[in-house]
Parts: sequence; C-alpha cells; structure tokens
Amino acid sequence: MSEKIKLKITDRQGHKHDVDVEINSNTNLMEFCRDNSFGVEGFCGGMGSCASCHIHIESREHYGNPDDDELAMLDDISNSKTNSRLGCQIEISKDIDGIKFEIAQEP
Amino acid sequence: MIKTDIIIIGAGPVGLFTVFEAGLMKLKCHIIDSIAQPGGQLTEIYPKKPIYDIPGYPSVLAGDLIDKLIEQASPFKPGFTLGERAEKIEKIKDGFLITTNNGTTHNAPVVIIAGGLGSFEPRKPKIDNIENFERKGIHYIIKDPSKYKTKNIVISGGGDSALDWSLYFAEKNIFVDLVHRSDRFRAHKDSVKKAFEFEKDGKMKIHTFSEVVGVNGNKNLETVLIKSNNKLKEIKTEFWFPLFGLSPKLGPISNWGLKIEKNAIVVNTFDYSTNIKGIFAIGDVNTYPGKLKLILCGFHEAALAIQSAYKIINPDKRYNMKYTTVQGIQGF
Repeated sequence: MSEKIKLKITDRQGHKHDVDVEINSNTNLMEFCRDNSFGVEGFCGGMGSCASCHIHIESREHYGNPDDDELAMLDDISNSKTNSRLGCQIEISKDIDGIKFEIAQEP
Repeated sequence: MIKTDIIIIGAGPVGLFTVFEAGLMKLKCHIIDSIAQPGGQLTEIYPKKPIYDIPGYPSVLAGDLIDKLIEQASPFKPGFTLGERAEKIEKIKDGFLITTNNGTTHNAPVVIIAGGLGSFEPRKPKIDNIENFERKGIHYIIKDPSKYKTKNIVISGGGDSALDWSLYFAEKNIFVDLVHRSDRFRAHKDSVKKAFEFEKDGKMKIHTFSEVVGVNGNKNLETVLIKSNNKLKEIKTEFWFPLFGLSPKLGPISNWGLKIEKNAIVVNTFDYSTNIKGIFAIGDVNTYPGKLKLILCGFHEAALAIQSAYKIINPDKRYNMKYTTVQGIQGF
C-alpha cells in the first residue's frame, strides 16, 4: 500500500480542508491543488514563473528552503509575506507530512 | 475597419503558426493580442527558459522560438493589433465583427481563438486611490515609450520588464527611481548590473526594501509616496509604472456564447471548431477529451482548423494540398 501524508489547506474562501494524499513521485502542491478544484491555476506549468500557486505556510517547520529564483518571484507579488512559498516548488513527500497552508488571494 | 480572411486572437506560438498554415492556403490573417509584443506567455513570462519538446529543436529558448515563428510567418504579412484586448464579437453579413477595448474594429469570415490562458491583465498594487490616476500618469504596460516626455519617472518591480524599461529611460536621460521590495531581482543579471552602474553614474536611484504606498495629484499624477525601511519619502513625478507582471484571465471571450468547461473552450476534434460556426479554438484555450496543453499539439490543431476555415472562406473552391517541399513558400 502506498504511503499517505496529511495536508491542512485553507482555500481562498477561508474554508479549511484536511486531506490525505498519496505520496506520488513527481507531484507538487500546485499540481495537487490545481487538479483537485482548489482554484489554483498553475498556468506556467510549475516553472515558478507566474506565482499563481502562491501559498502562505502556517506550520513554520514546513517552510523549507526556497531558492533565490523563487524568493525573487515572491518579492514581486504585492501580498507576499515572510511565510510565502510557491506551491509548484514544494514536492509532495514525507518531509511535508502535516503541512498547514493557506492559498493566497490573487493579487 | 480592418478586413481580412482570418482574425486570430492571441499572438502566442500557436497563433503565429496559424498565420503560416493559413498563408500556405493563400488566406490572410490579422492577429489581436492584449500584450504589446507577440509571443504570449513565452515572451511575457519565460523568454529565457529552454523548451525541449519542439520537434527538430533538441532545446530552444522560448523567446528564440517566438522569433523563429515570426520569421516563418513573415512571408504572409500578418497584420497586428497589439496591446488591445478583443472585447466584443458580433455576427454581421460578412462574417464576424470584433471590437477591441480601444475601439479598433476587425472583420473576417473566420475567427480562430488561440488565446492561451486568456488575455494578460496587469497585477495591480493595492493602493486605495490608484484607479484615479490610471492612464493619467500610472501605466501598467508601456506600449509607446516615446510618449513619456518628462525629466523623471518611477518604476516598481524586480523582473525583466521593470529593469529593461528602467535602463531604457535612463539611457534617454530620464532619471529613474526604481522601487523594489527586496534586494533580490528576478531580472537578467546583466540588466541588474547595468542598473547599479547607472546608479553610480547618477542616471537612476535604486530603492531596495521599498514600496510605493501612496499616489497623489489633482487630475494627473503629481507625486508618489515611497516607504523604505519604515521611512516615508515623497517623490515628484508625472509617471509611475508598476511592473509586477501580468496574469491571464479568459476575460471577455467567456461571454461570447461559446461552450466553456473548466475555463476552456469546448471544441470538436475533427477541426477544432467551436459551437459557433466560423469560430475555432486552438492551443491552450481549448478543451476536449485527451487534451494535452503542449505547443506541439497547438501546431497540429492549427493545421487542421485551417482546412475547415478554407472551406468557409472559399465554399466553391477545392484546395489541392501540396507539400511545401513541392510548392515552396509563395508569400503575399
């Protein structure tokens, strides 16, 4: 049986969702949210170039290590905060089990 | 009024290739796009990213692919209405009448929508009275830079567009205040380096860890308020360009009576026709069972849509398809 992790997602309407997700290689948070009707467009396809998958990580321990390109993209968004990340840059893996995040409003 | 055989909405890779395919069948095209330059998201969002799945190109930069597609389409002399959004469509005697947000009118018997993810709308900063000064000193897209005859301007953003325009104006001896929220820039490293050199030469001032937080003026913009490290500073200027990138919205097309599912136009895979006769949708803007949002799929869709477009435009003629290796390219 494949392993599952928990995601705690707050959508753009403020509704909270606790979901169990199978760890599937090569899937990131943007793709999960896009494919499961969370209203995330991910229109650049995961290049970290459009910021349509901007999220705020509420569980500090899951913030991770964004690279300079991602941070520079986040700097250009008016509603980015110190806990902002791009969902497309976070792979669904055991490292983020229990991650709590809010999908940011579209700027 | 602009009259042509085919109005193409969207100047991305698929729209540009449609011009070529139409040209082979002696059909003239005119392209409308809300962005001021052709290329769609390839030039707007990721011009320097390599693409690996274009047949015949083991690797090609997105911006270079667009240059090649423009070159390939050029013998067929497409018309362009750029920086204007296709707003309204009406069925008239001679086909369709499409009007842009600037009021430019276009007429053709066939419309091919290659609009990608929709028209790109600027990301606007959240400042209460910003709308009072839009097009009265605040501009989100720079279409014709020669219009801005002034001594100094303010630009916000850290991407290529913000840096490229800052350098452009500084080179024209217009002093630039570049305002950016951090000291990391997304723009090309050479542009950032040059901007700091210009700052040393007194041609511009780079405000890092700063934001424009207020705008003021009577009728037109007169001052912007910059917040840097919790200190406020007012700068006199006639122009502020917030260049925070663009995000796509399907926009007015969604009200054209086309069948839409999940933000995309439903098409028949026989010829990528929509539910309205004479309107086709190709590339990322359409949906059908098994749809793959790939540029190469869009190219295929363009070739097939043009076959049916030809029959609508020339109902009494039969087109005898010949390979380009046989007949070459006969431009207009």
